[in-house]
Amino acid sequence: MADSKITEIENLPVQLAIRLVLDDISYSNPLPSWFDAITIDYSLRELAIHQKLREFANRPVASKPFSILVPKKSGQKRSWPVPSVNEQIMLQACVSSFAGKLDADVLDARVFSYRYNRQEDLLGLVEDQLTAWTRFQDETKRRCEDSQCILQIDLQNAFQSIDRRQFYKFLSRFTTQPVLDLLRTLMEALSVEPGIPLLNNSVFFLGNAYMATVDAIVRESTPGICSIRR
Amino acid sequence: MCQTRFRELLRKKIVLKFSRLLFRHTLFAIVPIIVLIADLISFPSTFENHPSITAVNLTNFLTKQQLLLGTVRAHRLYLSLDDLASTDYLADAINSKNVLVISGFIQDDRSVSIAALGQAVLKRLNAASPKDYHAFYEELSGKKHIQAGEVVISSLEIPSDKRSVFPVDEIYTIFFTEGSPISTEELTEGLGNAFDVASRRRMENLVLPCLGITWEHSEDAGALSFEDFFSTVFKSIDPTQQSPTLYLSLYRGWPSFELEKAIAGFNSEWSRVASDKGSFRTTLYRAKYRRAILFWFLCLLVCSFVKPPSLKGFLIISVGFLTLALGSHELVDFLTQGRPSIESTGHYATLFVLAVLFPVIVAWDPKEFFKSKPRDGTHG
Repeated sequence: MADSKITEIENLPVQLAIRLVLDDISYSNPLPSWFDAITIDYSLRELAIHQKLREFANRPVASKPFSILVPKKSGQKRSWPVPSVNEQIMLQACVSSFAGKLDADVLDARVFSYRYNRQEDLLGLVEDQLTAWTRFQDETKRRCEDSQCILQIDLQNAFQSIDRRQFYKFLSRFTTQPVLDLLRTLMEALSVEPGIPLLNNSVFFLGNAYMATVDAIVRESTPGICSIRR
Repeated sequence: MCQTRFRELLRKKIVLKFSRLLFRHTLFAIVPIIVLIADLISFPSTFENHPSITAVNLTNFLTKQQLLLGTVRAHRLYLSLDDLASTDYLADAINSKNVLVISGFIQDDRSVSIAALGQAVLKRLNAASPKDYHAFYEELSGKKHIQAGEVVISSLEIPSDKRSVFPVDEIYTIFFTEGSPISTEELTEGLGNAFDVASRRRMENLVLPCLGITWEHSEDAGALSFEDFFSTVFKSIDPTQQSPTLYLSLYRGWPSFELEKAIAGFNSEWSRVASDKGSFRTTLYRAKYRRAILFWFLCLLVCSFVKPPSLKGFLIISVGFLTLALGSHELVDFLTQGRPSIESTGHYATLFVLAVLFPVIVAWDPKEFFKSKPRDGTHG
């Protein structure tokens, strides 16, 4: 059992995760502005992360991250955790290991945001969000013109309202227990408020996929009405 | 008792009859099978082209770090993400005979030098086998009259306990002219030589880094692009050679934007080389030859039911069928121009019809067909 746990953790896509965290979602890194990701030794970093993952598998304890307060539209402030780069890479590796399956199984063409990137030669966990936003607007406009009416539902504090136990239960359908345990430990350490934390694309991607449960309820409650989601 | 003996006799008779029948029908039909087996031994490849993927996905590539691309021009190809300094370098191929190809440069004074990749190899070699390091260094330093495109072979004898440090048996250094970007002509010549030597020396794996490409200078005027590099590699593969497996090795230390460029360049050339007239189809190695031999066997088998086999009959049928088969190949090629999807089916269908109906077709006489029929009551 312990061996299979180590194997699952060893097989995580660490090289991909390093590049995604350092190059694609570098906005969430607590790195100084002069830090140049080009000088990274990817092989050494991979070795270091594998070492950390092994340690983590034996003693799953994550440190509480540094967090900053980010103002919301309402004027209230919300905590934005900024975990260490290595912990972000570990989280990203967990998410990347089942992201393709999650996207394929849960999301369909009616969902526009945080879709899994399937462009062959582009590094990124998710599709370009600007293009996705434009496509959503075009689709909304087309539907408004065709149907002459539209019902807009805005989920208030969507990520804050997610029950994390239900969230992990949902994810267990797509990944193995060792990876889920690792993901849960990291997420719990990052969660300073109810719901799932605002962190970076990896968590936004998972949260967006979890919203498929809301899509299912909406579809069930409004038969005959075609819905789309940003 | 009598009944048992009768049954035994009947069984023997049936076996004898079947053996005679089998002998009669396979007496000469076995010849094409022997020819086919000999061909498979001489040229063991099964596929000329057999792409495993239509394009490389960067996310997938970074996850696995080694992707089987498939077979192209009878060579098995992988795309790998490697770092000479890493502890897992060529870890999967530690027990195979491996060649590493690097680049060397000819200076104005005819002396030679090596670039960053060569320096990294030297460092690794020094850690694995100082004896080989000195021999390699002295061999390169002593070279004075090298031409661009020439390959220098350095055989290594890495101690078995150090093999995991540098699991390479031979280093091939391809030389280019210093001071200008690597030209595709020099690269074509160098790669052609390297593949040829690796094939003749029966090496199992050939690791080919992206020679002449450094991300710091990739935007320089005239710099070798990934498209040019991969295009040259694919063109240099000779399908008639005994293949080492080729590992197209991308450098793990490259920044991600360089890897994106590499994958884009690779995909663009891969779609050209791995697809046959626009579609990714599997083609058999030496298909024309092997197909003709296979249906030659069928033809001999069919003919054995029409005429008892004899040496004369075997020769007549063989020459007749193989001539028809070769002619039909050209005819099908001509008729299926611009329709690649039906070309292969056309070849198989035509050969099948020719093989099965051979006894009927050869009996056709054009003279008989065009001879005017005698009118009733009159004679020519």
